[in-house]
Amino acid sequence: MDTLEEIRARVKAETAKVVVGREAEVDLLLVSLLSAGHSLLEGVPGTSKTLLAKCFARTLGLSFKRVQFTPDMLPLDVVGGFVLNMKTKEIEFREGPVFANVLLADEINRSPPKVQSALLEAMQEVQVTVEGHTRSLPYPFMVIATQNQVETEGVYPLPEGQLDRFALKIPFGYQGRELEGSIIERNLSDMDLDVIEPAATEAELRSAMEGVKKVVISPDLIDYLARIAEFTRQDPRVDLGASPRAMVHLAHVSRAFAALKGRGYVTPDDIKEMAPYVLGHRIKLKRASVLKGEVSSSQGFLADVLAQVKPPR
Amino acid sequence: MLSATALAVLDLSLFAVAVLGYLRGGLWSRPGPGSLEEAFSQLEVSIWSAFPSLPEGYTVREALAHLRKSGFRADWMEIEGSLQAYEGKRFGGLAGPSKFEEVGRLASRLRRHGYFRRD
Repeated sequence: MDTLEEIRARVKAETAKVVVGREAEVDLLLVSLLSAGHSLLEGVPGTSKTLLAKCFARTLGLSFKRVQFTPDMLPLDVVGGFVLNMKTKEIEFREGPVFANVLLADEINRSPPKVQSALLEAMQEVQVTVEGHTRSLPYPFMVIATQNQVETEGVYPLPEGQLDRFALKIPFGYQGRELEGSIIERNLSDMDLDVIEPAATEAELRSAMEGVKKVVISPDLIDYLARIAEFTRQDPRVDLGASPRAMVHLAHVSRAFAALKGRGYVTPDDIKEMAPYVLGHRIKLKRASVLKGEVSSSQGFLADVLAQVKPPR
Repeated sequence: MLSATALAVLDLSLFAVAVLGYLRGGLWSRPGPGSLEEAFSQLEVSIWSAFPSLPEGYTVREALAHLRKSGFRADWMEIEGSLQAYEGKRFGGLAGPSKFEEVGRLASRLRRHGYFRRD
């Protein structure tokens, strides 16, 4: 795990050259990548979501593409499609921006559901199918999507099925007063992303991802995960509990988090620490329960769940 | 010659010492743990008897953090080392020598705390 700790330190150091603060968010993005998951960054506008995603991708030295989602987009703008090559007079496949190791889907909830759905296959199966032809995407493949939480004008909320594909939802709040000052100071001079150097080679990343697969998660902890899932589904305040896919993601993410901490095994604390990021966006509360004040938010509900389900000790 | 009052006071004092001795030797002190697992098993029982309002979902690490925050005195460095060794063994199947005496002492102190519960 030495290499992984070195990669973590280097990624943090490189992103810190441009982005002020956000160390925890960088850790979560690393966890997402190492567990072969995708991340949804959510927060009010202007909280460095896109900047961090760009810097993070740069530190990895992987191929990176960015798509600004708009209401008039078509699926082929993301996955690509067949076009006529005027030189060869042949129809050939032109790859869309999804053919990259890291895809930044900026303001994903600004595009209509048809375009959002085009990403589903890519995110779940790391491949795309266009007119019956299936093509594999590069490995590792990671979608980092951003969405603004307060804007409602021209926004299409992500459906549950789409949200379920994101391993983690990472909230971006405002930073403290001291950091706010540093942000302003740093932005007074020209910022150049070229100062960021790759923090890891592709081989190192692949090796780290293979290492994460070897992290032990004991049968007791698998049972703990199953009991958490059961609790979220049976609670009368909930419309939609954690899906089996969500629990699989939580297991993978907890392993990556343990590896990031230099451990070869998962503890109940890893699961509890990662659960809000993995399950928070997938749990749908009953509107009546919220209106009656029985529960305030999915995060509040999760805190209840984690306080009541006994972990193995 | 001692007066009757002085004799009564002496008698009561001796009785109190005997009762305290019995309580310390019999009720509170149990044989120290013989292994890391036993130490943490005793600690778990002691924590939840001393602080019954702790949520069921707490992990041992969270409970220990709660104790530390409450101002409980212990060699927390040693306890952290023991906890890491215990977690490695319990969840990672790792074997290795480790100290657990301080965990045993903490469990014992918590049992006394539970006896005079102030939670």
